[in-house]
Amino acid sequence: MNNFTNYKPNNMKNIFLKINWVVYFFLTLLAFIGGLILYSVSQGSFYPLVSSHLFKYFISSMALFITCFISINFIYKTSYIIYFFSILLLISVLILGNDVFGSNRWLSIAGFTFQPSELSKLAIILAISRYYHDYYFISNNNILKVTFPIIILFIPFAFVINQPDLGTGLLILISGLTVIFLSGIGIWYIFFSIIFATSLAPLLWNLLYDYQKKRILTFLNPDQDPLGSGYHIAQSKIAIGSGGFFGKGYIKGSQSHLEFIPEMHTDFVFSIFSEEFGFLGSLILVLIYSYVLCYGIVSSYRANNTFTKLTIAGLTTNIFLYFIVNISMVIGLIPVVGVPLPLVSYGGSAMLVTMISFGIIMNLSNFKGQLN
Amino acid sequence: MLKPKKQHSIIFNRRLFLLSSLKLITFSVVINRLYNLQIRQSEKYKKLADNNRVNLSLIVPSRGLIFDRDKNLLADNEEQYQLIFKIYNIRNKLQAIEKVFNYVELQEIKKEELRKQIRENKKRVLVKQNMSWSEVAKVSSNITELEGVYIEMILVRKYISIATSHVLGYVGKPDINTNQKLFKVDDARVGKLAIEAAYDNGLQGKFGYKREEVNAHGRVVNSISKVNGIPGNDINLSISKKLQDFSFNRLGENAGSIVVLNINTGEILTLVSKPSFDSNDFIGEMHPDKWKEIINNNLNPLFNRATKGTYPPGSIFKLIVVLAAYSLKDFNSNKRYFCNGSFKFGNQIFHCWNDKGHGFVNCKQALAVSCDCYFYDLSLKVGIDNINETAKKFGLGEMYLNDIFNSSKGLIPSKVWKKEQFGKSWTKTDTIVTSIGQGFSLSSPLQLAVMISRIAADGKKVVPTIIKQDLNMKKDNDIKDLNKEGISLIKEGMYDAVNSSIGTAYFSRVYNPEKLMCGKTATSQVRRISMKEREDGIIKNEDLPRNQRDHALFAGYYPHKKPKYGFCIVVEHGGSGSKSAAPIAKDLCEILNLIDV
Repeated sequence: MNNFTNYKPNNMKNIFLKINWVVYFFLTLLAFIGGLILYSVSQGSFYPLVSSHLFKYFISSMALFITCFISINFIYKTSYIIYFFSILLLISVLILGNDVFGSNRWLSIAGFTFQPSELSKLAIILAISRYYHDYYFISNNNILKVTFPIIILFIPFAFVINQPDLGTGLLILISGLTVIFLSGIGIWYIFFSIIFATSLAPLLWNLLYDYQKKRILTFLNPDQDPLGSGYHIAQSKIAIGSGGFFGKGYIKGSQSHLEFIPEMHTDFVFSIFSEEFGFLGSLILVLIYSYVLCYGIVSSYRANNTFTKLTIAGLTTNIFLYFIVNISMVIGLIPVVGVPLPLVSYGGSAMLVTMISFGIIMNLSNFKGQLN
Repeated sequence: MLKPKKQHSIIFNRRLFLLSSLKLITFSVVINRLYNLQIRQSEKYKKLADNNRVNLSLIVPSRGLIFDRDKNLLADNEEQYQLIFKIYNIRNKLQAIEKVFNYVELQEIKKEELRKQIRENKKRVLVKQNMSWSEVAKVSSNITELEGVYIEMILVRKYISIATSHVLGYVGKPDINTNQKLFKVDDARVGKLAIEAAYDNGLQGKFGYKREEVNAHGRVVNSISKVNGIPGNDINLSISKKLQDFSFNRLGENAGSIVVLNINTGEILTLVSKPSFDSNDFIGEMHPDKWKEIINNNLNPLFNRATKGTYPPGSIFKLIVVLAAYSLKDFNSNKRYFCNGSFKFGNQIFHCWNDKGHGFVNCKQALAVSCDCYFYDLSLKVGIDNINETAKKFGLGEMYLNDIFNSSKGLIPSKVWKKEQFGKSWTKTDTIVTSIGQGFSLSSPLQLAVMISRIAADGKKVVPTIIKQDLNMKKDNDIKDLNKEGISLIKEGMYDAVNSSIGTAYFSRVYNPEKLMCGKTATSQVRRISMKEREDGIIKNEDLPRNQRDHALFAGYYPHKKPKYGFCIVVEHGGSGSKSAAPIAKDLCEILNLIDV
């Protein structure tokens, strides 16, 4: 029992000290902003989007607190188990999943739908971090140091790509590779990997689905089909641009309320926010994200062992990727990929994973002991 | 040498710093992009958002109505429903239109054309005009599953009577070359022919416009502002619908024309040309079979015979010769001339229509029996210059209502004209032929109606108009240098031609002694009769192919005392004027007696 936690379970005061309340405040603020936009999108209706969103935030907060409470050793030890569990979930999606718009991403459990690929992101980071923690003594240029994590990474990646969900797949890949990069592998591996990946690009292009190819082509040449695939991005840019400095005012965005923006409550939630609150609002939102991400980076820097360092950095990167990919997508910097804006977008899986990630970060950043 | 763990930490921190810098750069890229969109290009995007949001559309005003002189409708506006397909955010446009096809009846060619338009990304496609009630009901009850479908009510021109098609013309879609502004307006129509075209500006009215807030699917969410248009001005034509319809039907299967004028006002009461088309066919998309029918009809239904058709005036022209003769000092209308059936000039022989000859005839009698030889003889005394001048005074060779009907000028030959046209001098033979309205002379039914009206009005300069007039013509517009004796003589001649037993139209006289018809028949030849045929016996009209038969003409006025109506009837290739045209004139006068327009 002594190994389970370094703190006594009855010492609740310590547990609450572990929580960074400033960060938690900002996370709550983001969820609240999400609620505001959903209220606007619903034409001033609290039900069902806003209520559901806030309820999901409440559940996710609970998850954050519970994660803070769990012993680091327990997390460390169950890393691989979580990883296998996530693979199991991905397999069950393949067999039992709900088919939505031709892709198979969701799993229904007791009336809740959940996206197992979101859990995979967490699991991969934990598993790779544990591997490097256990084998930090192996030379950086040892081939073993690369092979195993790559295998860990590619199994869920293959499943997610197969769903098909290119966006999440790439996010998983990048956050996993970030952890491998931070682990300190030899610079030559990185160099050759890049060359290898580039040479594989034409082959990968052929493996893409038609709609994915179309999205990428549309992104490269958006004027080619202004009423087709490029339409959403064009309308999103119009929404954001027309917001100006102060925005059009709350619930006054014409682009959103006249249904020019697709997926208003999920992927394109930032367009609505930006249209109604302008550059000022967007800047504040970006700064809030910057703050919580900086917290992650600093925590990672301060951590005293490989597992905590890598886990925190990996999770932070994961959240960063969510954020940056979503915003870049709606402002037309990258092609459309279905990635939500964490905490703001409507949708439970991403929110839950984000909050659990912050729970782990808060938990780990207070850890000063030794893992065994 | 550091411990591996310590060394690890250094590498990690270095790489973390690198990664964080990368994140910082991406953040700055995003912020820079937001700055560009929301501050630098904000105005551009605001305009784009407004363009998305606000839909400015023109309101087509209701077109002015066209009435006859008794306020009977000739051209109405009818409510029609049309099916519009708008491409906004429809995922599969072609699939959506196929669904629509299940609810409306369309020809396969039309369907293919619609598919093409949709493939070309035309924003607004007119699927079906003039929907039937069952189609409207079917589409409206299934509107929720039909994407992009709208039913619009529009006002469509409706022409009441086929008899007025040549007078009214028709409306159609604006042409891109002549009407660039209106071309862009859906549902805008412009007059294409006759009254509809000539009075288009007034009939059109003023366009209104509305600004509406629309959503991404093209549905109207809010009305922002609306300026109503001004309906077009109504027009009251001088045409009498009753008389027009009667005349139209009276011509029957014949090709020809009837023109009736009010002598006092110059108003055209009837302007019929047959065969005709139906103006209603031209408004929307014409059925290909109908168009073929019109094009393949070699009588050319699109040709307005009343104003553009020109015919040799035949014996009607003799009236002009008599009037011209009165300018001669020594003209004696009572002097008798002996007609033996032919007239010798040099070595040429000119025949009278009656081979046996008319015996002794004076001027009045010559008109009544329409003796050709009398006029051959008279014309040589009068001379072509004189005849030409008089013909022009009475309105022949002049274009009337050209701006409306693109009328024909006809032809009154003169010495100068022949020289210019053929490079040859005028000969006396030409004068002889001209005297009976053959040869070069050509007149339209409208011109002949004007001529006869001027005679009936005792030399008043009747000018035709097709718009209803409230006042009679000005009093002091008499034709100058006119011998009134001549007028009264030819009026007597015309009286006899119909009402005396020797007259050519005696069998078509009107029996009411208070109101008698006067007029002049004409049978105008369209072929030359050869010497051989004359010897063998002239072939009867009935035995000739249609296009070689004579034209039957009748020009007259009614009633004989204080005449009110002047008219001209032309039955194309109808045989003789007394047999084909005069009976129509009789019926016309009897109707005029009844309805008194």
